[in-house]
Amino acid sequence: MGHFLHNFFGPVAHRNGVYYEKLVFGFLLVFALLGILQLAPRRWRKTIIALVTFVGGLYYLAEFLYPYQTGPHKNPFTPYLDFVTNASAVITAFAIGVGTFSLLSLHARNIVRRRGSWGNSIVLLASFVAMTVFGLLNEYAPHLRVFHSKVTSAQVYNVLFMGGYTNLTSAMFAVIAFYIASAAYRAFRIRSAEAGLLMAAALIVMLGSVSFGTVLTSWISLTGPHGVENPMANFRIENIAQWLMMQVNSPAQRGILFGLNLGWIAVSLRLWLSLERGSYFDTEI
Amino acid sequence: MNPGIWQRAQTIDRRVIYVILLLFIFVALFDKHLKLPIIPAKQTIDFYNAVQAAPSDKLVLVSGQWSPSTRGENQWQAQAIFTHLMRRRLKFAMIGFDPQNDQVTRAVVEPLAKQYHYVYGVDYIDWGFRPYGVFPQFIKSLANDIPGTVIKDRDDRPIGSFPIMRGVKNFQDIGLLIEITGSGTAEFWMGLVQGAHKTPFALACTAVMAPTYYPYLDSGQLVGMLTGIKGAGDYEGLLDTSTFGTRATGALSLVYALIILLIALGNFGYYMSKFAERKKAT
Repeated sequence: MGHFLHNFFGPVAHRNGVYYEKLVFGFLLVFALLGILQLAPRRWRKTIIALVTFVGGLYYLAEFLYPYQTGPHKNPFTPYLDFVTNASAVITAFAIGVGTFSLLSLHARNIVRRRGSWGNSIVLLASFVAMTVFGLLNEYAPHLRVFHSKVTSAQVYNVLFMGGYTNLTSAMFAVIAFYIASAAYRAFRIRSAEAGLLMAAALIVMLGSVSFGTVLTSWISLTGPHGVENPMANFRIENIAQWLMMQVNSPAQRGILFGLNLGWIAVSLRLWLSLERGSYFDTEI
Repeated sequence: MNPGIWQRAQTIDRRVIYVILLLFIFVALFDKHLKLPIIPAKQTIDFYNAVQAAPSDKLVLVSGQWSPSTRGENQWQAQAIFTHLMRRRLKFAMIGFDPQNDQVTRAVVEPLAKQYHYVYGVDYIDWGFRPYGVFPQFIKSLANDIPGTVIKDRDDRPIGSFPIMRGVKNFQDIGLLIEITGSGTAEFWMGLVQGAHKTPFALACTAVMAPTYYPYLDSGQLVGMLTGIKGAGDYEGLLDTSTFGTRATGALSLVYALIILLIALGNFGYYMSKFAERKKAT
């Protein structure tokens, strides 16, 4: 069974007959399952979804907790890991499909009804179509000539992805620097002793992180007259910054991590056991 | 004293700040005569030493969890790390858990591979992309059985057919684990892999993520860390190279100086205006 599942859901080379057969079969299978789920009485749907969620989670938990090897016996769950992993990737892909459909229909309605900023919706749809078409062509027909020109589909995709998308996303991230500079100037006022302490710590860490700051105390020698460590080197700005990060920041971070992970366990349990309430869970929107 | 002056010192138009900031960045990036000394951080030196100490008979695994959005920091870290690996002639495998990572990592590795005459399948290999949704399960399985978990490379070729994979069975055959990330994924590697197999683990993360990882440096779970673009610049300094990472570190330095100056100006204006108001009232 494990061997069959592994072979069926394992990766295959592109543009291969078996690949397309699996693709079509996979689509049919998923749509059939979704159809059955849709036909099921409303009160059963939630039970089915909760059951699938529970079994999926139980598998991962059992696989995780069972020892990798006990004497000659290996973990009996591990051979199925690849199958379950691929299955969850497929479900995620369908979830992305639903999200994409929702996004496209929303923006198409914006354009048809000429709602505010409908021009942005046109840009979104055009970008979406261009990236999808050339992304697929890059994968399956990279040498295809576009509009009978010398330019291939792979080259167009490269311009769109590396030239357009990567630079735009990097620029979006870089713009934050301008907001940080402006916000720091406006918001950082020493109005209390605590704010003063925070400011002092921030200044030391900032100065200790860049060459401009480290140069200020670089005159303090790292070694003493006989080649031994100079205790005064502890007062170099980068060392004070390091001390703040390791001795002051670390304990605080540990506390946050403990709290965060306990919260994570609680949320995971609620999701696994379908105890979560509200929109997208027990309430249909 | 005119309180209006001090009020104005606190309310400089944000567009003026943007222009000054832009000027600072341009000067640092394009003025070749401006060279600020680089004093590498301790965690960068530790990272460098970890790569220097990596055994040459074992693979180095480089996990990529970054995409174009954090390219400003992660790309130059990756550039420095792969340069160091290739200079040392260390064999390495790459794996990505972000759908866009494969392309951006290859854009860094392929020109370097040509420069250092690295041959795919012999000196390095790309294990391809795995969805982030199954990241913990995948790396847990990977730790115990590499060929059985990875199975095929980025182009769907069996990894067993490549000379670099001969004798590579599990994480005992990995000499150093490096993660280049724009998000918080290092804990999974530490919890599921590094802790069990005691593989040295070095991390290259964005500056905003770094404070979270200091406890792991303190505990020794991380053998070194590159922090943002400053980490990349420091690493380039240790490698005695100078690319965009070094220039960007200079820019960062000037930008920090400007921010400190602006904060000082804002606070000076704040206290002076309060002082002027009090004087007026009395």
